[in-house]
Amino acid sequence: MQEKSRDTKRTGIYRLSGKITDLRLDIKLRHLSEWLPVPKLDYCGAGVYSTPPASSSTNEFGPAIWGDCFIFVPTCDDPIFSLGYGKQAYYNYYYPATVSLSNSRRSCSTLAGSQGQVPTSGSSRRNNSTLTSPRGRVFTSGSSRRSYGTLASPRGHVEISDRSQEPVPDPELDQNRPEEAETETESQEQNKWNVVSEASRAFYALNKELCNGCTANLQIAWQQKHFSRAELETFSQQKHAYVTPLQRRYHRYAQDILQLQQHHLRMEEQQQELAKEELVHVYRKIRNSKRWRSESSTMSWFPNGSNSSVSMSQVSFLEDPNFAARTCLIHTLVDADGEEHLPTEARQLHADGFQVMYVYADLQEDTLLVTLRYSPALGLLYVYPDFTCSADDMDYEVKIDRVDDCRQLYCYGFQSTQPLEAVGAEEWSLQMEALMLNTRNAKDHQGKKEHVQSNEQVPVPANATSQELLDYFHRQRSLSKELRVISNFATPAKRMRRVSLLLDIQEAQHFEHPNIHVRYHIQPPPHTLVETTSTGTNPIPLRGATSTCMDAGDSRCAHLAHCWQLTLLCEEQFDPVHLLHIYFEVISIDGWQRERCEGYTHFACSLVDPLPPLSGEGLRLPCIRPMGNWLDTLNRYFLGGRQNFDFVAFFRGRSKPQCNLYSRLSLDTVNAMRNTGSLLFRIRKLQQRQPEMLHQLKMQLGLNSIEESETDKASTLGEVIAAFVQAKDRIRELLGRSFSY
Amino acid sequence: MAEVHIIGQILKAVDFAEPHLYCTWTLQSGSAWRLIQGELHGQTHVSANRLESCSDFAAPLDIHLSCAAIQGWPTLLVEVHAVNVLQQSWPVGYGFAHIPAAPGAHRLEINTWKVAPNGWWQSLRERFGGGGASLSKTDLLFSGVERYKLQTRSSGKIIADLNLIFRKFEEYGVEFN
Repeated sequence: MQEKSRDTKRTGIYRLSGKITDLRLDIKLRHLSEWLPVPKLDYCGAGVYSTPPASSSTNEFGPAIWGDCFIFVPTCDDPIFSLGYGKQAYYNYYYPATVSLSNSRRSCSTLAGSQGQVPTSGSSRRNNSTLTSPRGRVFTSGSSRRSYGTLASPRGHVEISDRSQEPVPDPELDQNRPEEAETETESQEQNKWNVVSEASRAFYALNKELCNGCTANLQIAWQQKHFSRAELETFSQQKHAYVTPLQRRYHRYAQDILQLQQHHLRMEEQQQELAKEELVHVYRKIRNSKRWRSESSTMSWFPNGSNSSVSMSQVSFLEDPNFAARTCLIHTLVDADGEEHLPTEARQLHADGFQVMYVYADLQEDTLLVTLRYSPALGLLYVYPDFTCSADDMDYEVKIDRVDDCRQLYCYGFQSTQPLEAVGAEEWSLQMEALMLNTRNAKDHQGKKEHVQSNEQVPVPANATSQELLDYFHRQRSLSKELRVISNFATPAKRMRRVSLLLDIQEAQHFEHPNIHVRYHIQPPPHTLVETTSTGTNPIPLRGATSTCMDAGDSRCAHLAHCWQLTLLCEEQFDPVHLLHIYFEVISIDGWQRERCEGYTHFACSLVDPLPPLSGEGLRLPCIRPMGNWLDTLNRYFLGGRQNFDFVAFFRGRSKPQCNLYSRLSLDTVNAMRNTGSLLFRIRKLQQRQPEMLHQLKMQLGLNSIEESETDKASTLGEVIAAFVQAKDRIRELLGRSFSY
Repeated sequence: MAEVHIIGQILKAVDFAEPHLYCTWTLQSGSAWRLIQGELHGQTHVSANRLESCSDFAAPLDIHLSCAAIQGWPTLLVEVHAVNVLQQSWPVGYGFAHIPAAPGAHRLEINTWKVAPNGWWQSLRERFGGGGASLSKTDLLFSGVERYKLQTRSSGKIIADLNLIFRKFEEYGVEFN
């Protein structure tokens, strides 16, 4: 699947009234939410009767309480299932891998020995970079002295991997009973943060406050250096290793941070010793309420209406509001660091007379938060992205998406402590960049012709003041408005069409048991691509589940009210004959957390043809489930669990004749289906084709008929064929609209 | 850029057990959408009717949006809150629905749900002390993968009348069907 995202941040331009050195940024960053990763399980092509037995799957995925639940794997050879996240992976979501995770959490959260390298994120750009020392030696991020970053030891990680592979429990664990209470409590803490991979474990150990819902605050002055962890390691060597005054100054800064970290460590150890008895009490309380842990993590009792449901007393012994500076979470790159450490664009910006400053956050990978550049000649400050109204707004999102790891969502906001005068909008900044580009071209190409050409594009003198430049671009903006409007709207690529479906599961009723939820699975037709936006509410719009509606779904109506949007891009090879299939499975969960299938249903629609007339109001989809024999009925009543029923193949009419499968034509009551409840489902559709851009341009530019005919001659054979196919589709749609309904 | 006018009203709340209700609404859309005029958030007055379970709001909506893509189609999120005599309020219904993708007049019936109490003690508190469970993070309303772990109860319905005007969509090849 191909994912596309859209960047809508804009550059803010501000005129500085005072000195640039007075500029202060208040920046705030917090962790917003996370999605569990989809387990990468290969689809093994299990058939209806070749599904692995329930006992093996329960050993793998959960405790023995799930012994009576079967994992359903549909028989289907579609490409959607052969991808990394097949339906098998989706259905395994329900089985929490508590045993292995708790072991690994326990070992990783133990405070480790003083030696070792900082397990920072492997893929980060600047953590891997080496900084050259003044005497020619190359220091990497690993060093022999104790640093704050060595909370998670490499030895601990080795133990994790060993334990997770060995089924036999580690004897060391049984001997360390006194530590059990503390470490167990820490593993309880980490339930708020799904620690899946080793990188995220290390990240959690280094940024406990951030992971537990605290907001990182930092005030940054103009060209003020804040170290990253790698830089802290580099500049915390012995003092005589540094020669230049800048290195000595950085060394002093590093010493300050190290002192701060040591002080915090000492305070934390003291607090731990003092609060040991209280901790054991907390641990017992948590263990008693373990059953409700998942629910309590997702909601809080009103009116305790804080934004985070995490109680700080359980997750952190010391509340430190200024932890970002101590943990080197937010760091900066300034002009003094030299161009070799700055991004490549900085070299050009320096040549254009800008002073630059970059603010990064180390969120498992180095993430650029803010880019600041200041032009002393114009007195303008460029901020990308623009300031938020207040630092508390935190309008900007950062999504960290790593393979085999949780997808983490952070948000941040920043403001200037002093009021600034905004002088430009987005378009102006684009034009200013164009101006810089043209001036640069004029400098590079000394030839007379190019120079004249650049003067034609920018008919303002080279020594124009900033106000003259702004006036000029204000005029330019009004002239080029129409063309820009056309190019702004996101249109599908040539000969592709975009189909956006607004889906809505409204309600469900008349099922056998209450406490129902609906799981859905969408199978797009071949030659389509799924588009997701960067701020998408659902990371995987092709599958999901509604919330569980308690005490409803039988005779009482269950309000599910779950809606989501799915956008598909149809490629050129897409055949409108192929339909989009949506499969629904209604599941009830009883008081013993046992699932029972209450019904299956299916909806198929063409992406091109119009939808059924009442689909916008709501379609009532009847649900069916296999009737089964008397033994199945008894099993269902007393034991629960879900049967192996290949409803995907059933609805698609692909049941194999040699298998004794459920058939609509069978007279045998064992293989018969029965009606259960119904589901109210709503679907709406939007289609977008490539608009006739050429035609629009002609209309707006007011070309006459002679020029039109010349342009028509210039169109290629491929464009003619594409226009023919499009016209044929439209005629077919019109005919279908008039005759089908 | 294409433009959407949403003109209408949040008409009433029906089938809620609580007598005194007010409704807050939010229009949420993707990052390619911008507000030109109007308000994206709002709150109705407290409406009470003891004879029939229907609270009339008639809160007007007049929103003018512009968009640069059809992704992130706007969604109307409503939260219904109950008020007791001690002036305490708590949420009794969350619901959301897409703004219809066709111009003209539409009547939206938004089913709502509330968070189920987490045990008998919370049930007692909700019944006698007023109040109820609320979502601590509103993004739980939208996340789709593990939603079934969120336990809810059916609540009433919000009825909204919307008149939609779409502008310039045909220039960008967008069709509504």
